[in-house]
Amino acid sequence: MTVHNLYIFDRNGNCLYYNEWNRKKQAGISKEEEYKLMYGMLFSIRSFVSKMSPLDMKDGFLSFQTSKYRLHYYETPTGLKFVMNTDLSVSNARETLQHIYSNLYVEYIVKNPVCVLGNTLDSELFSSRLDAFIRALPYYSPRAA
Amino acid sequence: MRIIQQEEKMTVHNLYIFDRNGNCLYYNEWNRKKQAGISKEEEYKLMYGMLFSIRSFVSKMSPLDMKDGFLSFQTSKYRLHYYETPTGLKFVMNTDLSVSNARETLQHIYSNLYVEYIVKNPVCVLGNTLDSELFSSRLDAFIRALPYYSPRAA
Repeated sequence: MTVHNLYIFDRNGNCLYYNEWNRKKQAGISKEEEYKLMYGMLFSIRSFVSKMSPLDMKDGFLSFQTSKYRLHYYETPTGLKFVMNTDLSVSNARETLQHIYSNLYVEYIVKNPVCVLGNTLDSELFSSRLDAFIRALPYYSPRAA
Repeated sequence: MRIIQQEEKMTVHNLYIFDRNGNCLYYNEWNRKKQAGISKEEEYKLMYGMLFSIRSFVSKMSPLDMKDGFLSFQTSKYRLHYYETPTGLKFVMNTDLSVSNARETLQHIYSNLYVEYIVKNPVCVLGNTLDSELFSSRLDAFIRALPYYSPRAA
C-alpha cells in the first residue's frame, strides 16, 4: 500500500510542486516534459470524458486505474490541480487531496505573505508537512512492490 | 444485507468493439441519456484515438513496471472499462459507478459471444462491421441479464 508521487498544477498548467515517495520507473523524459505531458494529457482526458459521457456530468474525471497503479485527480474551484499516483488498494483519494489543499496548501502557501502564488512552491514548511502527512497516511508504506 | 432499491443506478450505458486497426466493428447503447454532439463516425474515431493516447500516456508515466496497462477510468457519474484481447480486439464499456470490475464480463463477451458467433461463423468476414443478428441478440440478452443491469437507471 503506497503513494508513488504527487503533482500540483496551477490553472495555467505550470507545475507548482512535484515529489515522489516510491517510484520505481522514470518516464524517460526530462521533468519539464513530464509535467507538460501530465497536464496536457489530463486536460485531454477531462475534455474527452465529458464529451463521451452517456449522462450529464457533475464533477467530471476523477481517476483511472491500470493493472499496477491508480491515478487520482482533484481540482479546486480556483483551477488548482492535484494529481496523485497510488497503488491499487487506494480506491478514493479525494479526501486526502482535499486535505492537502485545505490544510497544507491554503495554510502554508496561500496564507504565507512571502510565497507568491503562481511560482513553484518553495516553502520548506509546506514540503515537510506534506511529506509527514503522506507518510502518516493509513495506506502509505515505505516498502511497497 | 443490502436491499437493492428500484431507484438504484446500476446499469450498462453502452459498448464499443474495435478491431486492431481502429475500425469500430460494433456499437450498441442500452441507457444513454446524453449524446456526444458529433456524428457516430467521429465518435468512434474519438473514442479509439483517445484510448490509444491514454494507454500510451499511462504506460509512459507509470511509476512501476506495467503488466497489463490501462484498465478503466471513472468520473463522478460513470466508469469506462477497457479490455483488449491478444489479437488487438478492443472492448470498451461504459457503466455506472457501482460496477468496479467489468473485465470478466468483457472477457465473456469476447470468448462466448464474439468467438462463438462471429469468428466461428463462415459467413462473417472478420474486419467488417459485425452484422450477425444472432450475435446482437445474444449480446443484448447477456447484457440485460447481468446482475448489475437495470433498465430504469438515473
